[in-house]
Amino acid sequence: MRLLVIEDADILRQSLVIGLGDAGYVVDAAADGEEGLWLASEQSYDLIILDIMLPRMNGFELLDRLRTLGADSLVLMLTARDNVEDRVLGLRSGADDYLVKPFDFAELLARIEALLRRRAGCASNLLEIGELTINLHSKQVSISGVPITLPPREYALLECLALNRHRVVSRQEIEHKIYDDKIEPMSNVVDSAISSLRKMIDHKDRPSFILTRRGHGYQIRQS
Amino acid sequence: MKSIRFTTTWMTFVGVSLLGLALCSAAYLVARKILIDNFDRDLLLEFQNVASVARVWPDGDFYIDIDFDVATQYNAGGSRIFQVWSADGKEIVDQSPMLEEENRRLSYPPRPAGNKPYFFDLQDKHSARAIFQKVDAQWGWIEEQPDLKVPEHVQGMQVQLLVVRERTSLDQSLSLLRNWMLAIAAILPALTFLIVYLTIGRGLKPLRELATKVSAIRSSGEKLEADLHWPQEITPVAETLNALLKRLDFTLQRERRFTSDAAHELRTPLAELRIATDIALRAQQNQERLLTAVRHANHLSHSMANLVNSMLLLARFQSGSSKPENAPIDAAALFDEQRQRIYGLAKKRGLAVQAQAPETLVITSDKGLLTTIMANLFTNAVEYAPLESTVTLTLSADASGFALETRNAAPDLTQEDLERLFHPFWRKGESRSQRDHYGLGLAIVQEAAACLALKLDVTLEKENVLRIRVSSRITETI
Repeated sequence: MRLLVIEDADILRQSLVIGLGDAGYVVDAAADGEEGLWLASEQSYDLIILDIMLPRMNGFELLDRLRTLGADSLVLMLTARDNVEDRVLGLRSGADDYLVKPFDFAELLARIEALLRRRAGCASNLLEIGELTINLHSKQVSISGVPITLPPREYALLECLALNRHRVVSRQEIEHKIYDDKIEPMSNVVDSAISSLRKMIDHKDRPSFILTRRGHGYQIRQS
Repeated sequence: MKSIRFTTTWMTFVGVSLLGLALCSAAYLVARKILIDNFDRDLLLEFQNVASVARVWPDGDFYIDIDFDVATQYNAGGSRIFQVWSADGKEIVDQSPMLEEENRRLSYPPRPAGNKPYFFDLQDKHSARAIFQKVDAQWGWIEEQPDLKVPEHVQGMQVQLLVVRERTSLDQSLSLLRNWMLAIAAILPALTFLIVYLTIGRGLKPLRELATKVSAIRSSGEKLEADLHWPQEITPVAETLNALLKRLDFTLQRERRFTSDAAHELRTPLAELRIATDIALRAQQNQERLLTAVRHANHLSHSMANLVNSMLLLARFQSGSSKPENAPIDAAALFDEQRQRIYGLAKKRGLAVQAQAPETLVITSDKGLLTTIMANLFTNAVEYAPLESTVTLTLSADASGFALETRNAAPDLTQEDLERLFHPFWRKGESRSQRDHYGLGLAIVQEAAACLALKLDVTLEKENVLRIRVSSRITETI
């Protein structure tokens, strides 16, 4: 999952990038409204954490312009303004959730998970696809009730495919959501990760959980 | 607690009681005198009637020539009596029929009769009023018997006549008068008490209504609605209360805004502090992260301490507890000291600082407050001026006063912003990214200038150059 943090408070922005990275997200950050809008319009983010009081362009204006551009990223507003009018304005401007500073990092994570889960059409943190069960909160995976341990990158890949189980996910999209900008274009990191993940979750006597759609990408098998 | 109603009622009661008592007493005494005078006048008439019929026989025998069958008041059961003494008072020469019948003699009056009537009270069978005077006996025999020879002393006989009249009717009148006066003196205060008590109670009703309306006010934003039935004395009270509420509301709004802004300002550094430490604690094995979090926490604590110190300084100025300690100080030296202090920051931001000041300028002022003003004005100019621009700092003196002035470009400011420039926590734009700027500096300058009775002017000149000027009078120039 790729997130964008638009926050002008340096320590808060840096801490969020580190914390969310630890939680398995790929995180970009911007320190002002204009830079944030540029990033959000240039790339597709699963979720944007947006401060309201930003230099050069405030959060409400940024959100409004973002929606005008047609971006459908989830937006979680993060602000020190806690009056009802601000919350209503934020939600009506197209924000999906609202969190008032100061807040617990655990709460922020929970809200991010809930928003992403809702976007994927899941009612709970337990995502069951055939014999495969994924706990989106504890990030644990089990097959036919037997837990298996996945490294962070392979888990992120599985989660990405599971949350988008109703469609084919392109190689570029996987690269964007799971890897940071440091990987070289046209590298085969995604193919390697798919191969690695298959080894960890597939059984030799059964068809693979991950289907390859040649020329399009990958899709998780739903039965 | 004293009650207007009871105090006024009791004071009126006591006042009316004393006044009523005095008036009734005076009225009684005047009426009594009038009644007695009238009684005495009647008695004098009676006396004159009796004296006019005082006769003497040629043989010197004295008699009162009244037909007692007609003048029955002198008979038994009557209310009048008379008795006549000889001129020397030693012999009773005549009496009214009632005295004769009862064979009773009146004692001689307290003093001898004179030529003028003497009135006095007499205690006989009944209480009575008496008049006593010398009178000449009437001599009329010469006209009837011209040849009658009568001694000189008979013709010129004098007697002492006492006429007495029962004063029962007078006493009854006086008694009635006294009773009425006593009744009036007793009833008037009681009635006054009742009337004043009820009237004041009624008069205070609008005040109670006002108190009810005031007690129903729950916030300083409300106001008293004027009641058309209120008397004109209450309206100014209501207007004064409304004015007070308005002033209170203004102050409370300012305080609320200040508290809210202060809480708001603290939220972001608190969020930073919490998240930075939270993230570090989630990876406790990572020493570098822990160290970074500690550094961040340390930086944030300094930042928040600056904010709290600025707020306390502003609160102290606003409370009026900061009294200037005026003494002669060299403002030019202070100016130079503050100019040097901001030099590093100006250089870092690529600013050119143009400073103009006399070599020495001694003024009488509070050094601490003036330092606060200079420090905040200079810092504000240097921190908010655009990069690579010029900041001008001027200290000048003339015969009428001194002026401290800062000039810096402020491209984002508008004329409308100037009104809010000195509001606590106000900053152009909504960013809080400059953690060491809380928008309190100019608010502190304003309050410190007010403490020193300095004049503070702010203007936006051509090409959006912000000019802030603080001026005062000079006491001495070296």
